[in-house]
Amino acid sequence: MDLQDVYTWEIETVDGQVYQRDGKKRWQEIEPETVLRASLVPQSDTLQRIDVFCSSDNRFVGWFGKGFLKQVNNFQLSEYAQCLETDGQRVWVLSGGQVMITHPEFELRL
Amino acid sequence: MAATVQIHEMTASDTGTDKTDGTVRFKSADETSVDTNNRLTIPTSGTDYSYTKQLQLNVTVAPDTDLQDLEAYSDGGNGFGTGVGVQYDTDGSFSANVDTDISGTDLFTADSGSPIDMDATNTGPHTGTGYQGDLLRLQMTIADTAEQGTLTAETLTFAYTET
Repeated sequence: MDLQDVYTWEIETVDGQVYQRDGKKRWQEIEPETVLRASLVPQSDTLQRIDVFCSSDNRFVGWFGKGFLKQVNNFQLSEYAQCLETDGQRVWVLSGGQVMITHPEFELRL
Repeated sequence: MAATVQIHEMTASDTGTDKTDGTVRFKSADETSVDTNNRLTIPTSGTDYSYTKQLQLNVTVAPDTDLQDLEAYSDGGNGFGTGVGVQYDTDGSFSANVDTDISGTDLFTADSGSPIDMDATNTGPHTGTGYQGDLLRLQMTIADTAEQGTLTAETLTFAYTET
């Protein structure tokens, strides 16, 4: 499986609707105030899902992926991190399942 | 669907060679093959310059929305040894490769703490497929103090943010 496909995002809104990547809406089209839960869901049983529960003081801001192409012996996509951002934090997951919680302005460079 | 991004090396024309799963080798000729032809030689005095290498991101599967924050950086330490360096500059469009001094910046000063902005000219957000962002032009410098031998590859990283 390609590194960028190890996890996919999922968003649940207060009305019980669940949205997923490649579904009927892009995350940018979902009202941030309505997001109850944002998750990164692994496509493999060996990894665990990451759930971020949102509230009025921890509001959903967005999702993004961060790709790192490195030449050491060959140029390859060596890591693809995914991040769920709220106005209070960034929750990162690496393709191996490692999780980091950082300040919302933290920039990951590997 | 997540984007698929390649690294392309641009040579005589503005048509790149995919270097994903490959390497970039500095040579005394303007070509992309990775072999021992057209090796760099140590000058008896002064400094010799390799042909420039120009690298650019090529998107083959478009992101859902866009790519932003294109960056490149080294590991911050020149492991090539005495007398061997790499200098760089960036440009928004292709220009012919040269083997004369580009008077660039030391690549190893651009590390993860101060990366090279790879979309300063061709600014994002970048949508769709094809070449995106600026070209990173690299040139190896060989001083008369260099020692002969085959060098160990250095790490170069390209990073992008996808939404």
